[in-house]
Amino acid sequence: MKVNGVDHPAPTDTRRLLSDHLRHDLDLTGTHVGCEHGVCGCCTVLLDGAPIRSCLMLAVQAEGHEVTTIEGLARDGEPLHPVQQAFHECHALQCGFCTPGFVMSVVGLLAQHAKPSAQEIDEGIAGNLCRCTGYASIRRAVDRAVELKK
Amino acid sequence: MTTRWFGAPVQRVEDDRLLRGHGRFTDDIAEGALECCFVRSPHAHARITSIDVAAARELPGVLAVYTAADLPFGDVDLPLLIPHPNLTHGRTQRCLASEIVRYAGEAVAFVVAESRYVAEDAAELVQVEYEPLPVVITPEVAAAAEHLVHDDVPGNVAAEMAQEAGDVEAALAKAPRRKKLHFRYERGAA
Repeated sequence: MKVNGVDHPAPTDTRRLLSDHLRHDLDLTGTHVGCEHGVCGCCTVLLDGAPIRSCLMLAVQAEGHEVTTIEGLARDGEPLHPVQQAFHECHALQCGFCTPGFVMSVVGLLAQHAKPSAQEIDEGIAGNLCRCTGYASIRRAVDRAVELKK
Repeated sequence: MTTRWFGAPVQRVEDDRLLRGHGRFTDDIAEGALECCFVRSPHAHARITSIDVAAARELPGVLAVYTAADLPFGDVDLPLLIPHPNLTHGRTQRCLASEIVRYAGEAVAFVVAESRYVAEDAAELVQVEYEPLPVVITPEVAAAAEHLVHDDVPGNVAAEMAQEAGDVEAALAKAPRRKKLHFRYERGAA
């Protein structure tokens, strides 16, 4: 499995969730686990570019695929990815727990729709819960990310 | 205190690490913490007739399994945090249900293990026998008091309170129109 561009050996425990594998075996703790049953969206990562919930997938199922986590969007010392930058500018985060999941969902959304409509934005982030900000600032951040990506 | 920022958006200074996935939340600190899993009631109202945790305790990787009987405070109701004077029959639950469960999901046993995987496996090995009791779901059904949620709470009523300000009767008598509303409030805490 390739994670953020780096090849990793196959996980040995067949029951290991992809989320636990990323967090506890590869020490990529930016992927957060909120509900552990696919409701909160905090654990969203990209699998071959499409957003998936890493708590609903076994690590062994990701073998042969490319996984991108929040740590893979902008290397340390490099500027933030446009979606990360937009979240910062629009105050689309407070405590930051749900943020990696939202950011990955939005990266996936913008890969599919370069300029999503309001409805497409709502559908794109419908699988993610935020308990701090409300969603208005997050919607604004998606629009801002579209501008920043130009 | 300065007012020069009033009305101006201010960029936060803590965002960078949170946006890059470098936040440090409790579960990100790999200090070998143990994991736990609760065994919860599938019934909204039932009497617990037996709990068998022997198989769960024997599972390798399990450090402890607790039921109310294992806790020195297992038979003590949790304190009433806001003892409002109108609350004539306030009732609280226990840390773990010992005799009766009063909502689906009420914790009955508590497993501590080396990993979440083992804790969940062990929780599935806990055998709880229940005798289902009549279920009381809404405030209206509770107020009808066909069945009691707590045997010692008459009519299922914990508190009665009417709040008035000024001369209500006189104000209503001369009101050109009246409207009657029925409100439902969500519960702020349990």
